[in-house]
Amino acid sequence: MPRVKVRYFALLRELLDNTKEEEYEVKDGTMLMDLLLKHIPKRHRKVSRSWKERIFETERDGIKVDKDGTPSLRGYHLILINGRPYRSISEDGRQLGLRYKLKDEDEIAILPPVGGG
Amino acid sequence: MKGAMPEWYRRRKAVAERIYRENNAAKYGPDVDLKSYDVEAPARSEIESLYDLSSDEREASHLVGIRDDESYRSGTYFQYDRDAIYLHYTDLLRKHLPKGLIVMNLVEAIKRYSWLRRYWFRACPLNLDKYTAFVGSHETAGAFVWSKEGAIVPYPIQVCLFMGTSRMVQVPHNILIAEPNSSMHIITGCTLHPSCANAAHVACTEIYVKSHAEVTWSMIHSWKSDFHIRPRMGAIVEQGGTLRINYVLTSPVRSIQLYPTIILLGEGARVSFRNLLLGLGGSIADVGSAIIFDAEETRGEIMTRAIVKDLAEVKMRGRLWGRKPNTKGHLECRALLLSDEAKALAYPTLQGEVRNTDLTHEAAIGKIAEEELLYLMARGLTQDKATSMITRGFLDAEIPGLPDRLLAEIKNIVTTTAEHIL
Repeated sequence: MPRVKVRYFALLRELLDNTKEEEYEVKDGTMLMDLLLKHIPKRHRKVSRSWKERIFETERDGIKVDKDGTPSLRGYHLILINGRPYRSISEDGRQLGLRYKLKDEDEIAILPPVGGG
Repeated sequence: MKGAMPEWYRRRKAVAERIYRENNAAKYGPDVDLKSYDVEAPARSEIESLYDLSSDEREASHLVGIRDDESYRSGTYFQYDRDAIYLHYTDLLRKHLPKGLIVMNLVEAIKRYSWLRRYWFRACPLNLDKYTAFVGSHETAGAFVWSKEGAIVPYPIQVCLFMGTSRMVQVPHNILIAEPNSSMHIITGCTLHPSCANAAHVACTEIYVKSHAEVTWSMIHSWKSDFHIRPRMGAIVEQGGTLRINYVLTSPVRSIQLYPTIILLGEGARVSFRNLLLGLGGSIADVGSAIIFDAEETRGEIMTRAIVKDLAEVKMRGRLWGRKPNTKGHLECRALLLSDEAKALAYPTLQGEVRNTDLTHEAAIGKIAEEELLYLMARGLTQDKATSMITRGFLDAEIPGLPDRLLAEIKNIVTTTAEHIL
């Protein structure tokens, strides 16, 4: 099972009780969106709602999803996979986006560009 | 201009002139002495194709989303200084929707459609400030865009407001009407000839979205550091209608001030604002948006993002006014400061007059956290590249409701400009 490291910065770190970084062991085939939408909120239950509201677009009290069922990110945070913006990663010429499948030793960094809130 | 203007228009223009003489300054933004600019400009000849423009003019137009080949467009309105020089429906539109869309010079539309008197300065009141009254008393042209009932306009309509004469003030008045169940996208590019050194642009745009109609208005501005810009905008959205307003400022200006106000008048009406501002040089930008929730089950959101650099100052205003129950609005302002001298200020106003109006707000203004730069630099990026990566991510805002191709066009303009300035 892949083990991935997640690093948080600025306000997101404060939201998660000053967690600077943490590791997750996930099942094979787990995608980036699963990490953001399920695993992280599950570990940080007290702030799971705030987390989801900060990371994802919401509508009518739920998370907004695209036509293909992918949740819609707020497009505000810079999310890096091993130092590369997640949107720049493609496979067979196809952008993977949030459907990127996590690999062992991946490092995910989530950077809010501006502090405040 | 052939033919006389109708009596109703002449009467109301006289009212506009009287209001203008009262010299009612705008509530926000530095005052601009309009008398120091010329309304007159050399007459511009009509053209048969956008390829008849010079390469400088075409290049400037490209940067604000105007396509000279008119591919992926339903039609074009091109105004050069004070004259409408090009009006065209593309073959694609003629084939798919031969009678569903009217695009013309507003002045001609006023002569042809007497019912336009019911719309003229209704969404944007003449007495709002001197700039609005100035448009009412000095307008020489503007885009009139009218989608008829049930017409789904297949591709965006492009409107270019182009300036080529220094020391002049351009005064376009645009009216857009989407009849029930119709849908259209308009991309408006406002820009100038490279030789045009200093000028003012004072415009008024009124948008009427009828029952269950959809309008997307994307406006891209590219000016110069000695330009004063005062666009006025108002819209009325009826039952089940949807309006999306996207505004992008890509260049320095002397000053810009706008505060479009949208009235959600019918049950279930919706509006979204996306403002992306590049505050550069010594720009003073005062950009607001307001939504009045005047019917139940209405929804609205305002999202403003600003990159502020050099000596620029950006004020982000927003007002959500809940006047009816079961309404919901969200206001978000974020600014990223890229120099020690840059300033950004947020002025949110939430005003709930009834129960069950749910209005929320969030704001963030600051510099890039040093720790984030260090993290990226540890991964091999230079400081400039790390800054650029975070900034581009910041500007990569979701713009809902745009067709993929138009979204890509607008994002490309933002990214190209951002890369150029960073």
